[in-house]
Amino acid sequence: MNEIQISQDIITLAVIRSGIRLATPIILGALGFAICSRAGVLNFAIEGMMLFGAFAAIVAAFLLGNTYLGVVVAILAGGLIGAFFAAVYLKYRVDLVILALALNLFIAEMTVFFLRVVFGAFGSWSDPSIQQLPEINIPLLDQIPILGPLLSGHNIIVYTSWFASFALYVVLFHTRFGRHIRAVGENQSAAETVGIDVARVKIFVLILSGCLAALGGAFLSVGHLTLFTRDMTGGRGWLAVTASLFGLNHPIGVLFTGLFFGFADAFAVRLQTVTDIPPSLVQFLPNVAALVALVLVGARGKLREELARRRFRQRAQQEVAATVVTPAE
Amino acid sequence: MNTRFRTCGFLLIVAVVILIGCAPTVAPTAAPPTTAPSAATSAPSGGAADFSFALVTPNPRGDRSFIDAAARGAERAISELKVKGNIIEARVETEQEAAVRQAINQKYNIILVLAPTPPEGFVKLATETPNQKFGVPSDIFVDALPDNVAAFQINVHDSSFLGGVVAGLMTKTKTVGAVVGGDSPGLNQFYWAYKQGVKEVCPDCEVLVSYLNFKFSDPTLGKEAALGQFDQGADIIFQVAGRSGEGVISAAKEKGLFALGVDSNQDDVAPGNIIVSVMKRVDAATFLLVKNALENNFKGGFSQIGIKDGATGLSWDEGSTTFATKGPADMTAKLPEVQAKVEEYRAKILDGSFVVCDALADSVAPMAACDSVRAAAQ
Repeated sequence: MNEIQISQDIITLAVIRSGIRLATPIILGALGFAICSRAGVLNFAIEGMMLFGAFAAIVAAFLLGNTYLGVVVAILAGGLIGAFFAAVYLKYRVDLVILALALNLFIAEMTVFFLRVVFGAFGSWSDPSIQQLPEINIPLLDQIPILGPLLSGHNIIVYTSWFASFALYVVLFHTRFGRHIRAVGENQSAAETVGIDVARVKIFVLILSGCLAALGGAFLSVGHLTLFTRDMTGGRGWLAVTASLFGLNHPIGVLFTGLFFGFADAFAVRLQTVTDIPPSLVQFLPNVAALVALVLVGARGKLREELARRRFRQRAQQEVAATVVTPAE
Repeated sequence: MNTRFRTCGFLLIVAVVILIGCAPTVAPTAAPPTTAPSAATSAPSGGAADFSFALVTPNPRGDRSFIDAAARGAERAISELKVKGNIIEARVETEQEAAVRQAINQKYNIILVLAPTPPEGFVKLATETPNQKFGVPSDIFVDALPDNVAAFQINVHDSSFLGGVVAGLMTKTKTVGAVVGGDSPGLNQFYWAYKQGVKEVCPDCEVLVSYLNFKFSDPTLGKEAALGQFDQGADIIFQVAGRSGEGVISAAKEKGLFALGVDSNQDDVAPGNIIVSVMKRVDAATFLLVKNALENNFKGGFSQIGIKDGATGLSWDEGSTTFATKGPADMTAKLPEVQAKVEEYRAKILDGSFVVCDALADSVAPMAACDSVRAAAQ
């Protein structure tokens, strides 16, 4: 009886909505990482791109006096960073990991610098004139008893993150360009041989990845709060990388792993106030889940490889057997 | 290929040599701009004119918290005690030690080092220069100090208790919350005492707590934690979580509910939503260190200061009326009664007839006053 009561207290509408909000930046960042991975580009700069988006969104919203315009500027700024990343990577062949780490550090310090030079602010900055993104009530949907309050009344970025998951799925698996992206990721030289413009594909995925991650950042600074603090992404970009790997770099998988991490965070916060479980343990659990998931994903890759090798060996043996038999006849 | 490799190697060596060659000459000239004295005032006359001090901060001013507070205390010392003083702002924590070394060469009477990072490095430096007096206004976590270092530990439990009294008397839902940066004795010193304060004036009130796993710069998480507590019926939340606390204030603003400020006077961050701030007066500690050194009362080692020394308190003590003027009428109507109750408890704490739980002291030797809050907190 007591346990039922507790589970009712934990899984409430408010907690699920909280989970959806916490998941949104992770989903967007993870989609950005996934599309790059599909094209064979390791984009560890999601964290920096996200932070840059958060910064660009709030500054643009303040200067232009319109939060939606701020979000658009953030997307463009993220795309620009993606294009810069692509240019340095493709033109000068800089190592991707080093480039990404440099970009993350550069953006983290740059936002602090501009905050101080332009707005004279140090740790955090906000302005009362900045409006938060409004919540959107979806007409018919908000009439349905449980689904309505659950799915309706989020802001535009939340809906965009869901839409982007399905859109990317369609693009990747049901269009010609999507096949090209996957071909580049799976075997670059083979893709080149059949005449796919590899550079164009890589530039495209990096720009798109920058746009998505920056949109996730914009959610933090103008969609959820109306303030910017240094390092406000707080490692969500890295969590997005984990979510993407966990979701096998599949857009729909990423949607669910992103939601998993968001819910895990929301439940961790909630569990403390209704149970006596030590808080450190509660906050530790989602990370354990991520670790286990990554080990499973890694093991799955190994297993696949091993199976493929075994199949190959079998086939080779059959072939050898066949060739041995043939001359005897 | 080989020549290119050799050229690269040569250029690298040249670059290293140039860097090494430059280092000693560059350092002294480049250092003053990064550690620029921003408030240098010469005293007019008197015995204090020969006395000079320096305050070395770990980061630039403008954090709306303890660095600004320490700078305020230093400026107050300069104007009230008529001494010479320099505020030296290190650009980042890692440059603080270099700034202290430079300050030692300037022969100040006392050098105040705020939150020395890393503390062990600072202790070593102080041991090497036994004739230089040092003061630490707040935040040094080491076991032992040399004789030439006077460090203050500001105990916030008494003022947090008063914050709890305010929350317990003002809540309409009989539920209040706390969003705390992490589960450690230093942070529980705020929370346990706050909880004790709430329970003291409202025994059937519920106190919710969310620890943020030491994420001090994640306002998004702070806001979700606060929204969760508001959803569970809390109407006042005490935030002790650095910049993550900004998220709590944002949640209070969004829901039209209330929060308590922490460390410095945050009443104006969200006028009408922040009832009162629990103050940690780093400025008072800074001022006191200068004053003691000036009056030859310098005493090495740790000193505990708290509400008795005016080192902690509520923002109301310094005349903040933001909530009284901007808060909703039904809440502000309660203020005189609440403030009377706060003064009643303050008097009891000051004369020693009421003991507040101190989580820091409790972590060393269990305190009876903590029994009620500790049992529930774990």
